[in-house]
Amino acid sequence: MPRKPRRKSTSSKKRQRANPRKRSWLRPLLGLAMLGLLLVGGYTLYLSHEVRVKFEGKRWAVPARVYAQPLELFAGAPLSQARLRDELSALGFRQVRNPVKGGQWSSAGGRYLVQTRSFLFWDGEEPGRLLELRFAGDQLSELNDAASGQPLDIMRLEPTEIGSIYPAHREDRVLVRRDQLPDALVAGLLAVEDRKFYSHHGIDPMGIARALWANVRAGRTVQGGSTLTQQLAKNFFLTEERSLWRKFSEALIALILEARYDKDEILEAYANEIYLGQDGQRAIHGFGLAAHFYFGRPLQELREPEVALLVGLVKGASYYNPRRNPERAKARRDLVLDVMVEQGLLDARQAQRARSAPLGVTERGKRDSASYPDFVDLVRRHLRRDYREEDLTSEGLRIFTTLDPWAQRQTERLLADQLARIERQRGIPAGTLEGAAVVATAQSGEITALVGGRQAGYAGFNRAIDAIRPIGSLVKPAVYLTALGRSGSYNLVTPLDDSAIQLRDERDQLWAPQNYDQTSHGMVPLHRALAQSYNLATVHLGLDLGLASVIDTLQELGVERNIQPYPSVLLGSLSLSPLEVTQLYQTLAAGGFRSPLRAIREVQDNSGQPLQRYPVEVARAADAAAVFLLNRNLVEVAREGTARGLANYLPGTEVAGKTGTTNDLRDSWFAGFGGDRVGVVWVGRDDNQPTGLTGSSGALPVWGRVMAALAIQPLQLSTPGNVTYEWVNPDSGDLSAEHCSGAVAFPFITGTAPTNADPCRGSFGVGDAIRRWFE
Amino acid sequence: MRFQYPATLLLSLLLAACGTAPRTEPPATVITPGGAALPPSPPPPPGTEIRPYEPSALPPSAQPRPVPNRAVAVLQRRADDQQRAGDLDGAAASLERALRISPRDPMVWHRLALVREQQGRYGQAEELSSKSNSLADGLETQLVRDNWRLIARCRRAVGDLAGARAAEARAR
Repeated sequence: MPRKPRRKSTSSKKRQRANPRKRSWLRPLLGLAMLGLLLVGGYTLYLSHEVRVKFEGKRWAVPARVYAQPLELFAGAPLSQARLRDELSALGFRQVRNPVKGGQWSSAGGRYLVQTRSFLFWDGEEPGRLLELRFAGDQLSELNDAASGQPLDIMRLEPTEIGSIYPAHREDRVLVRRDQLPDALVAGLLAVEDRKFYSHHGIDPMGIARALWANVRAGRTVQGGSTLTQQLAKNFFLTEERSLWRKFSEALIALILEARYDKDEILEAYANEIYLGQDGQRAIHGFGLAAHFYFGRPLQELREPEVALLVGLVKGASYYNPRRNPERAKARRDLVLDVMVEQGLLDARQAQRARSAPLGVTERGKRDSASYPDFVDLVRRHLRRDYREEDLTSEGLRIFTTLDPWAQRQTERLLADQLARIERQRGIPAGTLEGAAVVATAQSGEITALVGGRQAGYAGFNRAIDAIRPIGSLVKPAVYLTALGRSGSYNLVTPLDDSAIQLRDERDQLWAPQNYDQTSHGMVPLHRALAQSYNLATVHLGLDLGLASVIDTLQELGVERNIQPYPSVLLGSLSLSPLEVTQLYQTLAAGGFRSPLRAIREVQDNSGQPLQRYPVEVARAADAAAVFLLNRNLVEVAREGTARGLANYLPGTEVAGKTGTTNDLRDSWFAGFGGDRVGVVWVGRDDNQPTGLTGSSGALPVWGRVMAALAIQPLQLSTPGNVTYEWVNPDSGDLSAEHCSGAVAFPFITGTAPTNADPCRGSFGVGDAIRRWFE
Repeated sequence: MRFQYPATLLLSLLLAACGTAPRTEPPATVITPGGAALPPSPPPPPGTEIRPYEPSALPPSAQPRPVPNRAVAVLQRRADDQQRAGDLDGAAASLERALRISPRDPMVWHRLALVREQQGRYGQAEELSSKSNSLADGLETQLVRDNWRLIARCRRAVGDLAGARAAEARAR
C-alpha cells in the first residue's frame, strides 16, 4: 500500500520538471475556470429547468377541503336567531353597525342585515348580497333582498369549512391569486421584507451589504439581506440546510426566477408558499390559509392590524405565534405598523387605532380539521372508495358534505353532558362511560351529526363507526317485521308464547334465555311482546319464523355484515356499529324504503367544476303495510313500553323507537325516529365492562335530550291503502266493536283481522253487517 | 284518541242516514290524518271506554311544522327549467334540495323519479315512484296513477312486460 503513492508522486514530479514554470501555473487555473464556468453554466441550466418544471407545473399539493351543508334561508325556515348568529360566527362574519362588505352583519330589534359572500356551489354560484331577515319565534319569517326590498324565495349561505384532507408532509394551504392579495398586505410585506422588490433583479447587493454591515456591527445576525425572491427560492426549491453552496444556489434561482417571470407571479407564489404557523402536525402555508387559521375570515376581509400581524409572522411564525406568545406577537405587529407609518402606508391616527386593537386571533382550532374529526374521518373513508389518496391530498378537491354543524354541536354537547350526569347520579367513576351518536335524515339518509365519543373535538377511537357491539333488543323490530310481513299468520294482536325455553346454542351449550324481569308472561299479544321487549316471546316467534327469514329481513333493512344463524341473534347477539344500526332504523323510519346513508353530497374540482354527485338512492326493503304496523308498534314502545321515559324529554311529540340492553348491562342502546330524523345512541365502556345501565337508563336520555334540542318533528305515518282498522278486544285478540268496553281499534292488513268475534260485538246486532262491508 | 270524536260524529250521521240509504252501499269512511279508514260501529252505550290503537299514555300534541311551500315550489320550478334545458343532474340536485325542506312531499319524489327515468335509470325511477306512492295520502289519486304509469314505463323499458301490464292496471 505505501508504495503506490510514492511512485505516483515521482511521476508527477517528472511532469512538473518537464514544463515551464509559467504555463504550469496558468493552465490548471484556466482549466479550473473553464470547468467552473461549465459547471455553473450546467448547474444554471439544470436549475432553470427545475424552476420551470416546478413553477409552471402544479406548484403545490392542495388538500381537499371539506364543507358542511350550507344553511338554507327561506321564509318559513326553522331557524332561531341564536342559530343564525352561531352560523355567522362560524363563517367569520363580523357584527358591525352598517354592513357594506361581504362577511358583515348587523341587527336591530329582531331585524338582521347580512352582507353575504358569493360562493360557488356544485350547481352554480350563489351571489353575495345584502339580506334582510326577520324572525317569528324559532322561525325565519321574512327573507328580503335589502337592496331592492323584494322578497327572496330561497338562498344558501356559504358552507362552513370543517376540515381538509392534507398529504403526508402535512402542508396545508388555501391558494390566493395576486389580485386577491390586499394592497395593505403587499405594501406592508414589501416595506418590512424587501423594499426594493419592484426594482431589483432577484438579489439586492446593497441590501446584502447593509445587512452585512448591520450584522458585523451587532456581532450577530440581526438583519437578513434576502429579497422576497430569494426567500421564495429558498422555501420553494431548497432544503433547510445552511451552507455557502445553498446560498449560492438560492441567489442563482432568484436570478432565474426574475429573468423568467414577472414580479406579480413571484409575489403570488411567495404569498402562497410562505410558512406562517403550525396546527399540531399540520403546517399552515400561505396568507390565504393563515387568515382563516388565525382570524377565521378570508384574507380580503382583514383589517390593518391583522394584516400587520401576518406580515410580522413571516419573520418567525413559531417565535411570534400569537396564540402562544401574544405579547411577543403584539410587539412584532406594532413594529410592522411602525414601518408602515414610516413608509407612509398608514397615517398616525390609523396607526394609533391599529396599535390599540387586540390581536384578534380566534380560539384555537375553530376552523381547522380538528373541529369535527369523527365526521371528517367518515367522509375520508367514503371518499377512499372513489378517489386515490394522492388526489384527495393534492388536487384541491372541494367536498360538500351532509354535516349540519349546529346539530353536530348539540349532539356532542348533550352526549358528553348526559354521560357526566349519569356518572354523577349513579356513582360511576367519572370518565369511565363512553358513548357514540349518529343522527340522519329519516327519508333520505343524510348523516347530519356523527359523534364518536365524549371528547368530540379530538380525533381518536371513532366509536360511531368502529365500536362494533352486540345490539341487544335493537334487533327485535326485524323479528317482528318478519312476522308482520306474513300477514296470513301474524298481526299485532296474535298471541305469542312467552314461556320459558331451552335451546342448544352454536357451541352445543344449553341456552336458556330469560326475560328482563326473570318471569314468563304466558300468552301475550304480539304488540305487547315488542313494546315490553319480552325475550321469551321473541325467541319463540323467531324460531317459528325461522332464523334464515329473520336474517333476510335484517339484510334487506341494510345490515351488510355476515350474520351467523344462531338463535341468540334473535336477542341481538349480532354486533354492529352505531352507524350500521342507523342504516337499519333509517329503513324503518322511511316506511320500508332503504336509502344508503350518505355523508357526501357533491365533489368539485379545484376550479369549481362539478366532478361527482352522490344522489339520494331509494330501495324498497320491506312491505309498506308491514312496516306501518311495526312502526305503530314502535310508537307504543315509546309511549307506554320500555321507552316511555322519552316523555320526560319529548312531551307530546310522537316518536318511535326501541331500547337495547346487552348481557350484564355492558351496552346501552337507543334507536328511534320522528318525522324528520332518525338517530342511534350507544353508551358503554371501552373495556367492555358492565355499566349497570339499560337501554332506557343510559342511551335513551341522551337520545331524548339530543332530539329535543334538534326539535325533532313528530312522526307522521301514512296509512297504506291496504291497511284498515278493526275494533279488537285487546285481551282476547277477538274482533270486538267500538261500544264494547276496552275495545281498541288496531290496524290490520286488509283481510287479516281476527275472525273470532267477541260476544259483546254481536250485542247490537249490526256488527256482522258492518263486517261484511269490509270483506 | 284522535279518531274518537270524528268517528262518533260520523256514526251518528251514518245511523241517521240508515233509514234511507240501502244497506249494501259501502259506508262512508273516516279519513284519518294518515288516510286510513276506521271501522264504523254502532254508537256505544253511555259510559263505555273507547281506546283506538294509538297506544296512548300521552296523546300527541305536537303538530308537524308547516311546509314552506313557496321555497319548495321555487325549487321545483328551477328543476323543471333545468330538466328542459337538459341539465338532469342539476334538476336532480334542485329536487333533492326541495326534499331537504319537505322530505315527505310525494310530488317532489315523483319529479325526481321522472328525472331518473329521463336519465335511463329505470330501476331507481321505479323505486322513487313507489316511495312517492307510499307517501301520497288517499286524496292524491292522480299522483298515484301517474306514479303507476311511470312504473309501467320503467318496467316496459327493461323488458318486464308482465310487470308493466300489472302497473298499468293499477294506474287505471
